[in-house]
Amino acid sequence: MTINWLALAEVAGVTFGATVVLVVLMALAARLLAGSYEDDGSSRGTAAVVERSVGMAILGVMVLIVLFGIYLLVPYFR
Amino acid sequence: MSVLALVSIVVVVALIFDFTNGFHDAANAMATSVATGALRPKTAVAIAAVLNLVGALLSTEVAKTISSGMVDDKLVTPEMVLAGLVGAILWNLATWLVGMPSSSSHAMFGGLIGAVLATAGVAGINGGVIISKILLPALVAPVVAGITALVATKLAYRIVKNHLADSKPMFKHAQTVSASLVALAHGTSDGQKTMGVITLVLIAGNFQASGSRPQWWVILIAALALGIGTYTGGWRIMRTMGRGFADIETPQGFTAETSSMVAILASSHFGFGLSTTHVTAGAIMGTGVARTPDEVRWSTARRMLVAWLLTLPAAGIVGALAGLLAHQGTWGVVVLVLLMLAGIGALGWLASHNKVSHDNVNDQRDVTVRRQRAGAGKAE
Repeated sequence: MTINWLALAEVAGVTFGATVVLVVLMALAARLLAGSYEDDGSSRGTAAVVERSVGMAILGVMVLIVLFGIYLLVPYFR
Repeated sequence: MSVLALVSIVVVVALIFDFTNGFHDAANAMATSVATGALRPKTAVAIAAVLNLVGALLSTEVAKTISSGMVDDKLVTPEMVLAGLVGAILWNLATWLVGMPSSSSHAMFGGLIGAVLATAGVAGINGGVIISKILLPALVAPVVAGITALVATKLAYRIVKNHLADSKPMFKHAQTVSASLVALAHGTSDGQKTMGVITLVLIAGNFQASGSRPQWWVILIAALALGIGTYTGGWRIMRTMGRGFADIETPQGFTAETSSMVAILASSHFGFGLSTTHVTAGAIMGTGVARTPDEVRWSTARRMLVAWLLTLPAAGIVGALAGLLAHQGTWGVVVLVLLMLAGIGALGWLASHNKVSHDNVNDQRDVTVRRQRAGAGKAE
């Protein structure tokens, strides 16, 4: 019986690492975008603009990661 | 029985299996989105169905062996494949009846192993491969996905802490994307399973050259059966996955789906096959433990674990009996198909006593089989 322990460890490691990165990115984006408005909906000025921009940039990165995921998923693309 | 007749029967039964596969696994992609309200139930299964269809159409790698080496493929006859499929279909429907997520691949392997054991003996079985390809992954998948989802959920809630209410709508949109990717991944992997079975039976019947790719019509009907099965929704399993284990909020749904998605991708990439069902269920448990550890319903998890442990032997026993029957010749095959249809009818009839549909999937946490009085059990 051969068990591919290396593949097993790789799957476990990649699953943990990539998921944590993706979820942390999404949480950061959500926090920055949600936190940049006051409760009454008004903006908090320059700091808020920076927060929103960074938040949007993170979302942009996530879109790229999703596209990469689709590329990996579909054998047709490779 | 003529070869053409037998092959045709196997193709049709393989498509029925494919349908139950999509039906059973719709919950893997969409249960948490339905439970959190990120997607309306009908919309969720429609998206999942289309993406399963697309995924299956796009993944037309050469069909590998039916059994991934668990049984000696040289000994496998179309009758055995038929018997294995019958075992898998009946087990899939039985677990659906009680609302338990279980692996369709394991059911199929179990049915096939049973059929081979009964008709070709122990020599046809490769025990080592069964341990390394079924039992070990079944242990590993939920643990890896569960721990991952647990840690990621803790981090996410820590990051959004004071902005949780404002963040939830954003996670809702993100969840739609993550769920869609799980559905696409499911289509690419599970569409191939049925295409592989049909192709190998066509090859065995000399209707197709050995080693050739699945025919276009095989790809099309297999993808369609999977998509239609997914659209039908398997609402009983959807309820258990989405509400049975824990209360899920949108950040948790996103986290659970992302870890399932990454685990499926990583396992297909590194060649260590994990079951989508095991991964998803583990991730949902993990994210539940992270946010509301006291409210996770371990009793449901335990029942699911029992279902997982039973999948191989139960489908195996049905597969073995079906295999013995199918080997009696034409009448055996005919009786087997009739018995299978009767079994499908009986399980469907039992399920109709206490229907779970897109209308009431979120109303309760549990799936019950017994007939209920109108209005009873709506409290939860």
